[in-house]
Amino acid sequence: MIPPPDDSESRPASRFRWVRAASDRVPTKWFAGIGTAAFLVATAAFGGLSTAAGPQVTALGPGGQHRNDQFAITVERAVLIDEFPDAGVYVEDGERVLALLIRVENVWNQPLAAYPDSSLTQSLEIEGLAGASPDSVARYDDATLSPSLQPGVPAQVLLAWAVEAGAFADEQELRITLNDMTLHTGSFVANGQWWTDPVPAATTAVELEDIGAGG
Amino acid sequence: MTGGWGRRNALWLALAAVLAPLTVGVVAANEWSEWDLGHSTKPITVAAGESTSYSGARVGPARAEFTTDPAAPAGSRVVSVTVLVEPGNDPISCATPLLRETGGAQRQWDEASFELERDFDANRTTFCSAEESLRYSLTLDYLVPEDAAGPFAIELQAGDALPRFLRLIVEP
Amino acid sequence: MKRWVGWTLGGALVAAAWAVAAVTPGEHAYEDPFPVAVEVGETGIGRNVAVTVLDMRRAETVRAGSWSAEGNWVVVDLEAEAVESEFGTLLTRATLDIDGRTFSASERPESLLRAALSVGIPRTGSVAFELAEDVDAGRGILRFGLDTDPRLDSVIVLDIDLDALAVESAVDMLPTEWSRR
Repeated sequence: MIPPPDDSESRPASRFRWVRAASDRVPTKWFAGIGTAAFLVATAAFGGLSTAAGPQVTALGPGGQHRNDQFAITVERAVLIDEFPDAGVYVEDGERVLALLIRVENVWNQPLAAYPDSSLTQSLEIEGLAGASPDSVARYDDATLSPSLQPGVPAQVLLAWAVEAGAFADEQELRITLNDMTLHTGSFVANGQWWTDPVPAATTAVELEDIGAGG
Repeated sequence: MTGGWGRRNALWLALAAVLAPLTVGVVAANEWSEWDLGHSTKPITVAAGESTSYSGARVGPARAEFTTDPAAPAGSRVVSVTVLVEPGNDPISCATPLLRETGGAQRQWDEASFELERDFDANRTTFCSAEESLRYSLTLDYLVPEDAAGPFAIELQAGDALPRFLRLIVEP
Repeated sequence: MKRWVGWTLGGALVAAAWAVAAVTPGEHAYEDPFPVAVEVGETGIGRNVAVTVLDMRRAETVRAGSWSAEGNWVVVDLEAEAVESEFGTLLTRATLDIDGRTFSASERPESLLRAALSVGIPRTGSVAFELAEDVDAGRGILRFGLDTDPRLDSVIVLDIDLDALAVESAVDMLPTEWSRR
């Protein structure tokens, strides 16, 4: 004979009967269908299966301005010079200085520091330098090293590299890639905002002038 | 129902109640002791006019007096301090000591030879150089406001004796 | 339970939830700096910095020793001292928030920016802000502090009204020196 159900077991069963009744109302059979539909809608919204468009790279004419969320940069001149201590760069034997003069305006709403390997120098890549960051960054008017660019205040800035004497020649065309950076806001373990992730957005070219010992 | 489970596992619950805080304590002490080694956290207070041995050398006594100096601005005066250092078998090297009030807000001042425009003098040392093996004196000048009357403590730290550091009391 | 009781209770809970959300401080409120608001001539005393702004001037040309520059400049003359400790204490932060943008004091001239502060002995000097050409009028906020990261430390705060300042053609910055009493 089947023993009657245990008293201790039926008491918890009656306590949780409402849970079972509520969960019976959830249409579990429909979950698979709802999930598939949501996945398909999301995929369509993100462009479906077509290839994502690559970054658009504009070719700027000489002296053209490239504007993004952070800077408005115009490459003005590039010179080769024997030495340039005023720009904060020091050469060893067999080296010369490659200096790039740019006009830059900070179009963001906070000051940006321009120092070697900052977001300004990561926005400019000269072909032939293998992505090396400049040895010094200075203002052209008063030779302030590693200047802070105030928002809305344009300035002429010199980026200088110490390069091997024979690496560049007079009248050589320097191809420069201008990158766009993205503003990143620290959320959990980091605090503050910074610009990161350079993506090529424009190219320009400037003719290198060899001015010998300067003048 | 719960009472039965609690009684059955009473031994393990009691053990957990003891071991959990103990684990936290041991891990914390371990981590903090490493930080502690690099920072000056254990002062050795030396009374005025006395000396003590620190980092293998005999340091003290320290004497201080208020002086006036033309380079000092109005409303301030200079505390001129001399500290005797006698290196032992191993050289002692320490950074320039700081001046701190012993009472009140316990304000702290940096050595002010630069602000007071002192000329460079090879015989005037403001820090313990490891190259010195004979007895020498540290000559220190601090620029303090007039309301700082002392007594003060000269805080001297030697890198290899951290976290212990010296507090030499002076009463100018 | 009567139907209206359920609806009223539900409405009250929704209202309470809205009130709690409205009163809750922002995400980063726990690490906000402690502002000390002052006017020109008043001394603002923070944890380890005390600043008294003496004057504010606008100019088209600013001079400091042999350096000079043209632009839309605001020069602030101030006295600054440390309060409790000198070690590593520099006036690193000097910012002007105006027109939705933040400007930091210019490092081009020799100024009180990043000057070492002494405890109890004030130093007088100037800081200069190079503003964008289109910032001509309006109210702004000046902030002074010891660190560019202002979290959880004191910041001396001051209002500035550009309309109330006449634009001079040339202004000399005060040399950095001990304050005269």
